[in-house]
Amino acid sequence: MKSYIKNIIVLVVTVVVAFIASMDFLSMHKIEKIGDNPNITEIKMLSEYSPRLKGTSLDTEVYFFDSGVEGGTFLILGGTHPNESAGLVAATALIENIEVEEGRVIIIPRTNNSGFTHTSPFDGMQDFFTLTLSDGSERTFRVGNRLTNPVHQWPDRNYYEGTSGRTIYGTENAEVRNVNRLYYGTEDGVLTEQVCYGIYNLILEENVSITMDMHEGSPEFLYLDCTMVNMKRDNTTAMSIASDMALSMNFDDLDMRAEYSGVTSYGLSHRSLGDNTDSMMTLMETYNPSMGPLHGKMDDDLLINGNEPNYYEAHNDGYIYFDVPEDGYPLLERVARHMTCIRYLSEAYSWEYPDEAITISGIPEYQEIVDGGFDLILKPL
Amino acid sequence: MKKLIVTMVLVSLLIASLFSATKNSTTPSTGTAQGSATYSAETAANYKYQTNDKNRMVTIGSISEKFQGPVLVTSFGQSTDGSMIEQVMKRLKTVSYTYNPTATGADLSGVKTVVIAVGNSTKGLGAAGISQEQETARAKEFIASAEKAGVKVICCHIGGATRRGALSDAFADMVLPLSSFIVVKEDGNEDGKFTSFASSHNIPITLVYGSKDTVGAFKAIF
Amino acid sequence: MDIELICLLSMLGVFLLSNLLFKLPVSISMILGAVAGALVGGEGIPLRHLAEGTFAYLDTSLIISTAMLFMAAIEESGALEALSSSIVRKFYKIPALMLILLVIVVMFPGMITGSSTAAVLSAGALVAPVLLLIGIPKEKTGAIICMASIMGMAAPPINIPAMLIGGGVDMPYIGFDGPLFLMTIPAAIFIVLFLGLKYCKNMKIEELEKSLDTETGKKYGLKLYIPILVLVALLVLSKVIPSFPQLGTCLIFLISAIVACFTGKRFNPWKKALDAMETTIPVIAKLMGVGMFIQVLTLVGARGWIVVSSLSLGLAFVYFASCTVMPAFGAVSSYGAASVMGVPFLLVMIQNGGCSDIVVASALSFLCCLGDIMPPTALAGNYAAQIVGLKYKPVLKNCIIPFVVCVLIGLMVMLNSSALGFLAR
Repeated sequence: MKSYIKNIIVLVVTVVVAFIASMDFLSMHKIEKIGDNPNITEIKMLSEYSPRLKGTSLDTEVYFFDSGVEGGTFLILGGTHPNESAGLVAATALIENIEVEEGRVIIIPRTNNSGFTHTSPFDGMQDFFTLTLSDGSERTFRVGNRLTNPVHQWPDRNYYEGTSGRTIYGTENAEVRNVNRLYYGTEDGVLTEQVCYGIYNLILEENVSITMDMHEGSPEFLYLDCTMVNMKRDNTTAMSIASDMALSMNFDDLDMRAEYSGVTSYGLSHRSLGDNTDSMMTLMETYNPSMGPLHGKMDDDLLINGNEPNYYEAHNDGYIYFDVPEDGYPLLERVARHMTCIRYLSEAYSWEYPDEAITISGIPEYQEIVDGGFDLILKPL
Repeated sequence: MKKLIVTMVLVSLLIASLFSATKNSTTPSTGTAQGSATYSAETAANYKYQTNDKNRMVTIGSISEKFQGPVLVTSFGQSTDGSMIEQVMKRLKTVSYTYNPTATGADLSGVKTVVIAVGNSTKGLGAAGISQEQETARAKEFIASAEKAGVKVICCHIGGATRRGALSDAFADMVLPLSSFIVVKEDGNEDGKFTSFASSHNIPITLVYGSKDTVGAFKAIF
Repeated sequence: MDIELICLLSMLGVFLLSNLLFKLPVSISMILGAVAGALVGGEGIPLRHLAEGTFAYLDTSLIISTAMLFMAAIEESGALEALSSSIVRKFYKIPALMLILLVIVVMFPGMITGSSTAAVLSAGALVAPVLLLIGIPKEKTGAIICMASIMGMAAPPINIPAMLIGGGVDMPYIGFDGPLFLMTIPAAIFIVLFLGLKYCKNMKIEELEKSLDTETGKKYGLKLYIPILVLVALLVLSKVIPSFPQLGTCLIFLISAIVACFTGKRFNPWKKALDAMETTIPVIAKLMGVGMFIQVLTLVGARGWIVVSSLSLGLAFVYFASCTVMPAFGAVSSYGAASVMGVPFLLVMIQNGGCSDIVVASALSFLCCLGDIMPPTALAGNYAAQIVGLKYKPVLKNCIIPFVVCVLIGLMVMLNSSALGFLAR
């Protein structure tokens, strides 16, 4: 009898704890709104390009800005890795602000929609952060995991061969839930790969001429403030466009360099979408200290102000190659950097290919964004 | 059992001392991005910077004549610096130029000035599908043809400290003796390699603080 | 005093207090430590984080459970004993060679999967009875299995800490085979000879014959080994042929266990399954506790604090820490040690020049792997102890000398990396 009572108590406690914790987990499935912009010409779902995604948690919104004037098409991907917040915020800000005067712009703010519904075990991540605008209104953004939620795609296979020749096995096997390892994808692959296929198919069907995949990296990463470029599109021209952007950013006193996409980076967007479509592929990384193993307490100061004294100290001691700023690298500056990079890329692309020009207005100068704060780029809801 | 342990310890000590005796430095295989500089951290610490955030450009030696177009921009080592120099030329707006990162002697006809961006990148070589040996052979052929054709050569190293290392330096050593002008991003000169060569061979050199200052350096000579 | 240090001390304090003073199980003590850390760190009782931490080990727990079911099944069917007796009868004349062969058998699953747990639970469980039969005492057998499984984890072709460290500095996982073999094979040979050889001298085959069960083997013949063959075949096929149905490791273990019910001695599968789970649940509970502990450690910033404080002490300290703090971190997670400490340590050593980065990375990964015997988690030690039917303390005590030798090997390779650079080509 006594042991029954003990067991029942343990069971009841377990159920109560699980119930309370599940509230937190379920709240992560709510999607934040994105503000209106009269210049949006159409909102589609990615499942229109990868039909099996329809009705799944990985289906995601695709925003179209069509100028009606002939020109090129710029595809912008945010939220490929939902823990890399600058990508989501920059994509949101672009959707709420831009006007396209020549050509078209297509924006996917939450490329891995499922990744936004959970956080990574062991990393102690905050599940969301809130930006307060000057009128007192709040904009909340989810922080997710770089991989698809295992609730949506599980278990991870022991061995998986992607379409581009990347085999995923051993230590990498969880990467079968990483959008940026499975490009160019196939319609009947695992759910995550169907997202890749959707983007691949979108690039083909919409005739996308240039793509930017917005990322962030931990401070240990060697390619921060760096844009990866696939060399395929008439070879040197793609690098010329990227170098033009980099030099323009240098003139704004921003560190930026262009780097060749690794020859064996199979399954990554810049490599495998570049190799298998006509689009010029780029991927940019900014510094995000909350992603690194040395980070301190997980709070708003880390997520929004990008302030991590541990990394400043480690850099001073010679352990971190990246030039870590003493007072942090705020989210606002990272978002501004992504937006500026896109602005200069579209300009350089249009200069190189005048017949395929893409002219975007509504992206403020870098310094304007930094001075004006999130008020300048996010609308109160 | 004890014998076995003693023997193992002895053998391992012997091996260890042998290894320590032959200890020498090798270039890290992480390549261009990580600090693969051939000079030591101490040398770098002793170096006194001449440029800074305010005074972004310092020229040592006098530039007697202006360089003429048409200009051919090429790369030795296939780093992205070549394409950066191309963008610098674009921003000059006054000089006619072509950019060919894999140019050979045959591309020199009609060219008056050659700008060579030196800096090795394994990623760049991979992207261009060129082996290290092929690139070295092309560089040798190109520099010999340039000497024969009598074109002016400008040596550019704008990749900074991370773009130094045995392979990058080999390309610089090919170009320097033929150069009429040198442009170096100063953090790539922490061992004084470029400045000391310039002063001993009486070649004008401009040290720049950032990549963008290369535009200013070029405006002064074209 | 930094708030992170206070959090860390209170977590460790509460853990030790509950474990040593109040004699609570490791798992419960870990949970209490985690809750204490969260409270001190101003996070309240973060139920979401506590629950989330446990999920890091969900897959591992499932694999361990099904592997234990499989082990129980082949033990009950008589396959294990039959295998042991046949190996001993074939090789008893050359004990040193027999021991080396046996240790390589233990290493093998670890080499393929990169996991010491897999090595202990599969090959380790097969070889342990053989070692016991030869006359090696339980605690030494446990130590041999435990250390050999770690050597297997560190040996190529798959060494996960090496991949994690390499990944952190953008170094492809190529060229590690040479340096890793250089460290693991001699170390493994030393371990098994040091711990086991002297017991082999007194081995009398006539006496052994008596205690060996030869009848089961005769009665069922090769049929007994079908479950093991099924296991190996399914594991290999699903890794080699992409189009092969993806059963997953758990299902493969279960299928093999079910096969074992029909290929040997009859037993009550339900009862034996319950018994097996009863021994497995405390291990899983320990993993869950560790999961919560690390999650809170990260949440309050103590994890970052530990690393940054160790890094700020300079190059000599980095070498020292590589040999001490890094394996010790294995108590939390040896993979964690690789990504949290291995990466910055490697960067420091490269930046100080005069070393071959692949060799240094290999040595660091080797030292990380040793973390799998660090208590209280002691993944390899715990399982090895379970297999020989002991608590893990006596087993770990016998691991001390081999452990120290391994650390010295790692250190020596690190210090002489440039001379060993040719191995990485």
